[in-house]
Amino acid sequence: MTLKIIGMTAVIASSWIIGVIFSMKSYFRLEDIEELKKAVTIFLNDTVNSSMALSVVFKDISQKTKGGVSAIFKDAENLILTKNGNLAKDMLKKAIDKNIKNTYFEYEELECFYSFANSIDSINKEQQRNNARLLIDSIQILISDINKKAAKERRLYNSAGILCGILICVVLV
Amino acid sequence: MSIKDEIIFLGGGRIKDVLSLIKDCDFDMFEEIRFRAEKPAFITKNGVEYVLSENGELLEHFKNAFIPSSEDINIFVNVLSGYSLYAFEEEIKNGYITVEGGHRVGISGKAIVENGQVLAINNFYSINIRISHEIKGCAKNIVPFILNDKKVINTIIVSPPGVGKTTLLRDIIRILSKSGKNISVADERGEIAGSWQGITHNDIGPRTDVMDSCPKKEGMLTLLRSMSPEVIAVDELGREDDIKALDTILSAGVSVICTVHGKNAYDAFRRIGIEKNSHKEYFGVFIELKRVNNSILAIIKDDNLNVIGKELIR
Repeated sequence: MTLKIIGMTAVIASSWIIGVIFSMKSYFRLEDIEELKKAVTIFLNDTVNSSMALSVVFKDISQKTKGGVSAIFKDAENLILTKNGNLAKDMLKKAIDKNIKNTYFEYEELECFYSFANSIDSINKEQQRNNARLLIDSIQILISDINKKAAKERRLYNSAGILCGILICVVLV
Repeated sequence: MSIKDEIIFLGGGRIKDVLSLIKDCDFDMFEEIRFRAEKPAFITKNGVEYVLSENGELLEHFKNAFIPSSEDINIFVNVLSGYSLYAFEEEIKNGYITVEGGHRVGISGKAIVENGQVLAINNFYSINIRISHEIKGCAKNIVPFILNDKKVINTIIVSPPGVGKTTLLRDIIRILSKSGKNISVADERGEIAGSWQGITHNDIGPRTDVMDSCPKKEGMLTLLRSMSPEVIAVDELGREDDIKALDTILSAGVSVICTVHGKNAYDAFRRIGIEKNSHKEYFGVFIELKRVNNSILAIIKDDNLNVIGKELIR
């Protein structure tokens, strides 16, 4: 009997942990989106207020952000320094595609990121400012949507994990 | 980095490919490289114009001439700016970008105008790369004329564009700086020091302070206040209010060495707004540069505009 109780506890705990891991996915996604927001804010400051060259801006962003976002801007900086492309947007998109597997980005934020990439070849600061602000607003809306969704998902996955564990125990016992 | 490497590293696309085919030794003698959309490319070497071929050869005819497209020009300018056209907004409005090494790239294209002011230029049609040459020692025989008992005489260097005013001014700055003078340079276009991201690429001496990318008048007055210079050097005076800045500097007891576009001293006076017969209040030495065959001759004049010396600077 003791063995059965220990076994059942182990099964329920394991399935609950799996649920927690699933619910953490949206947490990591949010973390990456926050990093992207930080990157765009740095971009806005460096380009509009400091008139820095794009390679320097990307370097600055890669140093001040972390995870996949940092890796994307580091790669974009290296690509720009080689001067082998015709447009900066192509190089940033290439860096995004290469590093996407290291992020938790999903369709919506990737759309935002690509549209940001499409706008970085602007000819003046006003355009850069407008594009960056638009993106920050979009990210902000995305963050609040995901936050609501994430709270629900956390509860759902936690409960589902425990319920699955109980179900397995009932079936097996 | 050689001049060829500097120029090739500037841009991208097909124009870069053709430039990379030019012989290294030719590059050192280039003065200008001109690209126009759908027109042959030209190179001026030692005052003589050549057509650039697709193989990077200098031709005297149009057969096999390299003809860049509008897209080639736009790609070149975009890469030239380090994919950062927005960072050169002010320069582009004025029609040029100064790049690493002090080379100036003139640009023309479609101007976006609002209330009579140029906001930006896009769809670039043509570019003119003016190659900056640092000729150390070219002012060696000229500097004694602008010194009077160790005090630098206010000097004006006059010539049409592309003859070597900036090259001569740069060497005068270097020599005076090495001889112990504290010199401040208002380098609006970044051509004298060749400043790029905070580093000066040309040798302008150990006692030289540079304010670059700043309008000349504001640059000169800021340097006067902040750096306590003995001499202020400035390239291409010619705006209406430059003369006011000159008045302020000269009344502070600081010497000025400047360049102005023109054929002779009188052109220079008109350009910067010095009234007839009052030039002596401003300048004591006038240097006129003239192209003679393949050389550049400097004619040095005193404050009465009498010739006091002639020197070949290149």
